Amino acid sequence: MVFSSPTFLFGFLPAVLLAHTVLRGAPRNWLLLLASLSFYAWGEGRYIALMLASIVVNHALGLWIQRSRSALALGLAVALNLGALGFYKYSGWLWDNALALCEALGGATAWLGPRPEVVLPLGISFFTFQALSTLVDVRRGDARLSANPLEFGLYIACFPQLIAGPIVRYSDIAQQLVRRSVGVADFADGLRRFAIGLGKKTLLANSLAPLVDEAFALDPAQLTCAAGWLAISAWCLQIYFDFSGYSDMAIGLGRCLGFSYAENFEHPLASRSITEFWRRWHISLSTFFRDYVYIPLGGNRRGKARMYAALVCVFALTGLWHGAAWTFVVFGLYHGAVMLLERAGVGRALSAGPRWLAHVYFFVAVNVGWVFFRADDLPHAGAFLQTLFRVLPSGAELHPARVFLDTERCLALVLGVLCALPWVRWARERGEPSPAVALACDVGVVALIGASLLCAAAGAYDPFIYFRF
Amino acid sequence: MSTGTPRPARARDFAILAAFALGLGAPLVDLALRSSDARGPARELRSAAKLPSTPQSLEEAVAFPRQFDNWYEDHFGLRDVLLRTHNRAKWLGLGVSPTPKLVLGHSGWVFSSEGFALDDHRGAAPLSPGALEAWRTMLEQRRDWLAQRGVHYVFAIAPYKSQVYNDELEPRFARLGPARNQQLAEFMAGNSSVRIVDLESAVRAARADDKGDDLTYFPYGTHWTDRGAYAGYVELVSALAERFPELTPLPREAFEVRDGPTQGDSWAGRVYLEGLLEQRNLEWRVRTPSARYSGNFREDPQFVSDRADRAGPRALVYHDSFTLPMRPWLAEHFSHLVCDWTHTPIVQRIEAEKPDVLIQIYNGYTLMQLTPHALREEDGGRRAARFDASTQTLWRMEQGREETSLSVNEGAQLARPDGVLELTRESPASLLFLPRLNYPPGANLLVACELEGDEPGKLQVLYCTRRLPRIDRRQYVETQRLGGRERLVLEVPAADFVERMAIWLGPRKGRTRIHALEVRAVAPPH
Repeated sequence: MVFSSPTFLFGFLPAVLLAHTVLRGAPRNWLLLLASLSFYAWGEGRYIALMLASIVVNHALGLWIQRSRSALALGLAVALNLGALGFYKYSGWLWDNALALCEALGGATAWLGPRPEVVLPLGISFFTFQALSTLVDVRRGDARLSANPLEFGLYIACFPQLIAGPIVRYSDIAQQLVRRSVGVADFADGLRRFAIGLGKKTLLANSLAPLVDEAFALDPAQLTCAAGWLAISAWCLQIYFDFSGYSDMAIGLGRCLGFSYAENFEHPLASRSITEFWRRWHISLSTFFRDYVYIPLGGNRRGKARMYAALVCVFALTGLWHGAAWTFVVFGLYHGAVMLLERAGVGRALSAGPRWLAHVYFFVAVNVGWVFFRADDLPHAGAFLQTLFRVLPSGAELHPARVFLDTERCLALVLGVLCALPWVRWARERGEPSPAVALACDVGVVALIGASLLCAAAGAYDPFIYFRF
Repeated sequence: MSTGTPRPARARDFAILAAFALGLGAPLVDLALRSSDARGPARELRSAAKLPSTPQSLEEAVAFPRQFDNWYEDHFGLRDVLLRTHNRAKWLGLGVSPTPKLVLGHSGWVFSSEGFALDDHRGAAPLSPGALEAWRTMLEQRRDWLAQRGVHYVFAIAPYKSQVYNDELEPRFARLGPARNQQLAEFMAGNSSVRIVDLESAVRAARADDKGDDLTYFPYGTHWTDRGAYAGYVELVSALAERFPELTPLPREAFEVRDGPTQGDSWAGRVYLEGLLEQRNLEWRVRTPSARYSGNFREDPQFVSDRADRAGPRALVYHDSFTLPMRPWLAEHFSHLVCDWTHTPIVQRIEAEKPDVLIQIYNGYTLMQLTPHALREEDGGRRAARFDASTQTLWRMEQGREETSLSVNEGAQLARPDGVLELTRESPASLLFLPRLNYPPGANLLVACELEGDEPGKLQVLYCTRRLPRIDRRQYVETQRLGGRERLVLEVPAADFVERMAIWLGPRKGRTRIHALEVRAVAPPH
């Protein structure tokens, strides 16, 4: 069930919010856990047992670790969680690579057996990382796990952040799992945040998606250079508003339910370097890799060579976390390589130069990375990059940028650029908003709710040319 | 926490709560109060999804949420009101179409953009040399096969709306080169003795007679009006007269022109803007018809007519929706006329009807969908021979073993009651999905099926392309099933193919036994 679907908006959400508001005490948590498991089962019924197993096993291991500080228990937990993630997310990809390797080396392939056709369980990357972070924190003494499996189950499965994050730390919400209160102001703020997220998703990301899909479905050689840049810029905005929209909705819903989730995006597209970008983009993932991979690998403390190696390792894993394909690995490694260059001196040069130049550099650098993220495979990415950096027309171009643009897409691009800038932060730096400004903002939120609901409803619109039975 | 909130802020908080309560709650109230027929997707020309029954098994329980979502998306409260408001805002506010299947031109005219029709219009999706050669081969094979049976063959192409009213389109769709129908007609004229009857110039010329709301194409539809169809009809019959000199097109005076009972081909209802988008529909009827027919010639998939005096040749016409209005006009020229609204000729029908002429007439956009594919009888078994000669088996169904790599969609079931795989089709959209294939670049794919079915029907291999990455009914190769046990080989052009294929056995419910299914790679024939 996605947050912008009619089933969620006009069924699940009002029912859960109403029931959660009415109930008090432990029944609230039971309600929320049941609702979250139903939410998960609705999207991925066949894997509800996996989700329950993840809760039960990780809770038991967590209590064991808490009691004994056992390295064996932690090792077992890491192996089980990463094993499940590896099997469900990467087994097909690993099989493909093994086959390709065997064929390249001229070896036998029969031992590989049939390709594992495993359906990726919804949200497995998120709930696995949440469980792992908790168990590591418990062993480090940074978190104290409740003996109540209900609370741990709710932490793992809580529906607002279940399928698209943010990755929540147990210690951040441990108290809220036991006791939380939701006042009118909290609830209204949560709804405001949810409306902003829903608007980002339905009005901006969904409006840009057709442009991107159309351009990326074409042979890149047939796109003009301008069309290539238009498509990748639109993709940059689409993925930002899609992902940050989901995070906003999760944070907003969390607030309505009494949870305070940390921010996951801080206007990353207004960055001036890739290093700055990763401090603002999917913060909960960056923090996870920093705390549980980069620092344990030595971080900044063991010399430059070790630091660079750790950085490359973190970014390779970051890429792979996003998807089981070489394009994602290259996406991660590319970002790692750019960060190395920035640490090696490019960053200092950018800081010394004019701000606009740094923004131009960032625009090019981040969009080159997005090509790997969005392309079907590496040859497709290579061909798309050639289009982006084609100096002279090849004569094979059939699709100029203007073909992809209508009023709605132009509006979405302009609004997208405007909304990617940190206006609210700039305004707050000038002081609290006046009542008139606050009122205008709320009028805007109400309009956003209306427009978003219209667009969400339009997701169910599917006319045919002839009658379709 | 909220006790310290200033009063105006608290009032705004309550206003936000109220707005959300209204936005999320009103559809629930409407769901309870109003009939679902008013909200459903009938206007969108599709049936509403059915409410799934209570699951009786684990499998049904797993499928239940998706089925419920489908039902709810067709029935949620205020659906029609929300869609009307959304579509009105897009149409009037932004000047864009609410559906990706259309684009809006000047004055709100609509043009089809489905299946990349506008890329074709711009000349940005030309047929490759291999595809042109494949068309030539198929048309010549069909012409020759029919000639052996004494049947004259005519292949005609009608222009689509943007080819006649290109000045009504936005400048961003400016043409770079010829569309596929123009390209094919030119290629055939220079490289083959099969002539394509191109109706474009005649229909473009008819546009000069546009007056007020009497137009050549419907402004809010994608089809030609009866007057546009008449221009195409005159051109087609004139081309037929080269072989059948007794045929002369009916003059305009032979028709009575009057307002039709509906607005004709219009998207107004489908975009929930009926009442806002009005157009005139002038219907042309033969004043004194000589041919007799029954049924609704503008809607029925098949049309059969006979002249009482049995004058004129016998004709079999395979066509798309563009030919519907001209069916009764064509009927005036043939002693016996059968029109089939389908793409692929049916051998049994040809053998049974023994026509003097077989006409295939499609609008030019069809060349974006249709992959040239000769019938088994037309290609003289060459495709099957190429399959047998190929040693590159990409996938083969192992008979007698549990088959896990095949899958079906909701309307179909796979079983193996006596060791032979059996596909049960319970819905018109039942599909059998083949496993993902790794294939050598540049090769074509031959799919061989040995089927045993109860009755004749179609066999389509649907395939994905990078531009159409999901299996749907817009990208396929097709042949006919005769019924009984038979082996059929179809060829998928690999230039566009991406990994996934599915088999569709026609819209009728039924059971088909699959004795063999295999995919091999071959070099393209050209």
